[in-house]
Amino acid sequence: MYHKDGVDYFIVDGHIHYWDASEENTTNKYGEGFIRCFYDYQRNLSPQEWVWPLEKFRKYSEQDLVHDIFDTGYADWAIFQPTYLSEFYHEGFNTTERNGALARKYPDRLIVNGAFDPREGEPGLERLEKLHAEWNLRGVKLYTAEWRGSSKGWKLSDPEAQDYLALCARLGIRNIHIHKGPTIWPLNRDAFDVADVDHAASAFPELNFIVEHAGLPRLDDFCWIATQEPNVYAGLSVVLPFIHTRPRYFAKIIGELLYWLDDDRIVFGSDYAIWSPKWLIERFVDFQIPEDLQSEYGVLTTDIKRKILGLNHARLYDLKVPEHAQLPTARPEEGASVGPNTGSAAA
Amino acid sequence: MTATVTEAVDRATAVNTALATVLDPELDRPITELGFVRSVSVGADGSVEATLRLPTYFCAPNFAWLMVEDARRALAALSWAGECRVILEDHFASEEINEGVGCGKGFAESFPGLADPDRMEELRAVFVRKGHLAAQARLGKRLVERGWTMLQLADAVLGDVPERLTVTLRRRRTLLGLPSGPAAPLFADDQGRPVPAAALEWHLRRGRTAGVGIGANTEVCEGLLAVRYGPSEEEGNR
Repeated sequence: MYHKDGVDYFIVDGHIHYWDASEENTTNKYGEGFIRCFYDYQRNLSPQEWVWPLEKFRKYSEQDLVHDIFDTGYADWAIFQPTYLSEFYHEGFNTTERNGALARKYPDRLIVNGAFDPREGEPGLERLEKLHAEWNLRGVKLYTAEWRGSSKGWKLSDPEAQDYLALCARLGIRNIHIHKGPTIWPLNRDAFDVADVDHAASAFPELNFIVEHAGLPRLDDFCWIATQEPNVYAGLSVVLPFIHTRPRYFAKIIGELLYWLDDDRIVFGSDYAIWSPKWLIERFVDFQIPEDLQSEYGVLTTDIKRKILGLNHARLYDLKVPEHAQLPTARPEEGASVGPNTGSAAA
Repeated sequence: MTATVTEAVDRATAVNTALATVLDPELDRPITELGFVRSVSVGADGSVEATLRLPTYFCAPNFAWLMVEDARRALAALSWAGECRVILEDHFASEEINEGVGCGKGFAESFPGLADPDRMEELRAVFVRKGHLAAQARLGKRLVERGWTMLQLADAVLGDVPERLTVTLRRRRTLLGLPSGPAAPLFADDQGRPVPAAALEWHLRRGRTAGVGIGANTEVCEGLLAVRYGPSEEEGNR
């Protein structure tokens, strides 16, 4: 919970990692390049005092995570989004198993998501069922640009993916997080392309599709899809850190998202350990769209901030929000789409 | 200054001018402005070598390829140029890209089994279209601020506004193979058809969002390049 000026902000950090990119675990030059690329993101967009030594960034401890997310990071809940990268790291980079071991210790604060790859066919479906049985998954994280065998990546619109999404729907794995960030393998297609999300979101209205990084660098395509599909959400990881060095761009992006989507479909995520939630949350609560941009983009109200920082995620993940952190009862003029602050979204 | 020295200076300038025509397809800006050209050298025999660098080790290889290939093409078009080499440094696919472009191979040929043939031009066109739309949104905003109505904007042709306001727009039209003369519509869709007044606000909104996306991406890339290699010399000029 974050308190500021008499307001309680229920915080759900929807995008955190517990990775191991230590030298011992790094398999090849790709793994080395990958963690350095992540590190450059931290160095590029963080305040100086939040830049870690490379050694710590490669492998941080459980205590670091608990301290940064909960002790100082205000989070009531945090959600692990796994990133396997088994070809780059001996034991994987940030697997459900590694995340899950920690989530078991803090069952009332940490949620662990799964992953699947539709190119695994039948055995992959069984694996997903087992993963669900073990971890009681409420969401999955998908990397469509990941290379496998002779395949150059996959799309949510591929026929094989439909079976997996149908299984998610049947098992009650409602939240499908999609990573469309930096690509990993050579592809001559646009690996950031978000068009396949449109297809999947229409085909599975009972699932929620959270596009991480708000579709950046394809913001315009993402917004266009999200306008048409009510079950498409924007994750703010990578976007929110703009607030420090490039606040005007942050204002423009959040302004575009609020214009094309609405404040019920934008969710907070720090992408820890690239960025830490403490400074992101403090800065966001203090942030306002610059005056000269307000005629185009409007203003950020306290209610909008409360929804983005936690209440929207609470709805997606069925998290109980204490009464003092809930919004006043929805006002009818806000439109019929405004749902309850807790309880199920689209059961 | 001796004649040879003057000539060498002219040639170095010509190389930079040639490289300034090469765009980062995603960022819709010349690679010279973005700081992607690390060094350039011109030999006495007219050979030219340019070294490029990118913001990350994992920048998308398809876009990296297009920049290296375009740079090589731009250099080869210099009348006096002999052998031209473009070298991409510090990238996970440097070897394949340098070798492939150097030997005049295609992308799919250089990444066997990892790419489909003939998709690169299509990819390039997707991004030129975004740039075209974003340029219209910037222009539309300026004209609306000067009091133009949607109806006036919809009726306008390129010749109706000062040329300096439409430099980028006309360049993007040319790249798309669309008419860019004074009689061409000022606001046009991907096929060059004029946008009717009723649809213009929507058209400009989409262009605005495309522009914010491109701009945000550029901010990240510039920042990453700076942490990777130190601040670029262009920084102070912007």
